Amino acid sequence: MLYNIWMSINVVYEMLLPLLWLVVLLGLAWAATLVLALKRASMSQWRRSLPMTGLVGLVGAVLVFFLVPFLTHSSLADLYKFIDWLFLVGTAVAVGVALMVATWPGLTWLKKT
Amino acid sequence: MSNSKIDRRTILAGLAAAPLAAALASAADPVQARVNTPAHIVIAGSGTGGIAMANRLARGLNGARITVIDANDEHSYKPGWTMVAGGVWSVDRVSMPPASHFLPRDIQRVHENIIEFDPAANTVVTSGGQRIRYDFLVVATGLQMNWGAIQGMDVSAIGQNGLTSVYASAQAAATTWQLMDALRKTGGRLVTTVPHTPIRCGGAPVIMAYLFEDQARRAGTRARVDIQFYTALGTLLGQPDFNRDIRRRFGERNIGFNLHQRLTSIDIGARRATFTAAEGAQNAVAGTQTTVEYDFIHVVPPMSANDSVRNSDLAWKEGPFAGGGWLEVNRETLQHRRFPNVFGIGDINGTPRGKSAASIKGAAPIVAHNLIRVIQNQAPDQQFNGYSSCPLVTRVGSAQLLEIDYDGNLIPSIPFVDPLADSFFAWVMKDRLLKPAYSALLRGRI
Repeated sequence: MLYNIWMSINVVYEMLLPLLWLVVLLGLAWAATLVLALKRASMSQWRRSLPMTGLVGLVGAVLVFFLVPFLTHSSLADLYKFIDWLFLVGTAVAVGVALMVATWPGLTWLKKT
Repeated sequence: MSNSKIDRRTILAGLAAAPLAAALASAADPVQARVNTPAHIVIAGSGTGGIAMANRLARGLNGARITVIDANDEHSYKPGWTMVAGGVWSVDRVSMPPASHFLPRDIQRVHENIIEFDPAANTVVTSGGQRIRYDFLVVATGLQMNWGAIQGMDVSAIGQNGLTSVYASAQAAATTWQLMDALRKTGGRLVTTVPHTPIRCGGAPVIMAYLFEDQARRAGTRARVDIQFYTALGTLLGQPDFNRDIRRRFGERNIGFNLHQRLTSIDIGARRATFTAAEGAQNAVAGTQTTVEYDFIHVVPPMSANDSVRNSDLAWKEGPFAGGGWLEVNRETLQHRRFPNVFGIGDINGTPRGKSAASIKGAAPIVAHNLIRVIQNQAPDQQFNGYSSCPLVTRVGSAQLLEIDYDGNLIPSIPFVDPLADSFFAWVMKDRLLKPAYSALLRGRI
């Protein structure tokens, strides 16, 4: 199990490696908005931006769910097994959550301004 | 005011969880504590196995001198060549940085080929005339394609007159698809072959047959393309369950197959292939020759150990692996059976099955661990079960995940999933996930 987690981390790392500059850039932008939001937004403002954040995550997840089969020359009709659905839904949910984490500070800060 | 904001310490604590990933790394890596040694280790070959071993040994040893010997610095993602030849990937998707990009900085490189192994003297001789002594040797030379064993075969003619092979190079894989794409527009007779020897990635010929059939179907010309699969072996694949499954699929998809038929000569200009029947062939006495006309042929050459290993004392001298001159290693420890300071990894090993990148992934940590123990005058204590894996692409968009051990037993990583069923997940692995995993394998991290 530990090995599989380690392997997954490595696969993601190797996939992102060619785009490292972009990842760093986005990470810095995210950190900047996080700091701004933490400094200026109240708890209620964080809460108010949550529905929009959820919507962004949901849209991202739905897009990933339908796009991944298309981008891999496959289709939803090729999903036969439990593991296929688990993988696709899991990927979509993971991307959705990542999008929520990425956009929540920014949306909170926008609400503030 | 500060009470109404999210606690910054909570955020910082969350961020601090990131190093958990690093902790997982050390927990998952079997080579942990560095061993002090002045030993000189020579790694013969800078392919997948050689690079992975160099990284693992450089991390596991302190003070050792590691020398990697190989004239070739180019590296290509060979597991992706079937995707190129099957018209799924463009050829640039199998390009990789050179071997030197993945090798540790503090090792020595000798950009020459090894032409002689002298294990009794702990020495290798290079094409440049250097005699290099070693304390320990890792043989990772890969294998050689014996195109010359097929009379009339000219590997430089691949891409002309319907002659193709996914095994020759990435470029040959690309031309294989160009010719297939042309054939599926016109229709014609497609022949694909399997030799009598062990081959790299044993599932590739079947994958090619499946993809050729699927691409013709997608073009709407399937009825005009006759596909015939000729194999010198008695099965379509060595694993019995998969063999039965492939026979069933070939039947359903109208792919003809001919067992015990070995491609012995080819007339490239006339597009004629001659097969010689072996014992067990249907409707043919052993030795009978049959000439087949084709519009497109996919040739898989006979393969063996490199001549330098084959002609050395490192090769098996008797038994099923002697004919190919494969490296005589203990199949569990991957230590040489007669020269305990020699280990083998990858295609060169004279072990059942397992000439695949997945097999190297399974073997590399074990070889590194066992070699480090031998350096410390201890006996090897980890055993390799012969794990090998192949996402057997059944058509564009779907694959089966074949995972086997030395004895051909199915050892699926996900036990409750039927490995014989078509899978989107296995396809995505092949299409998107395995190349990054391969890079991590080269770096010695998985």
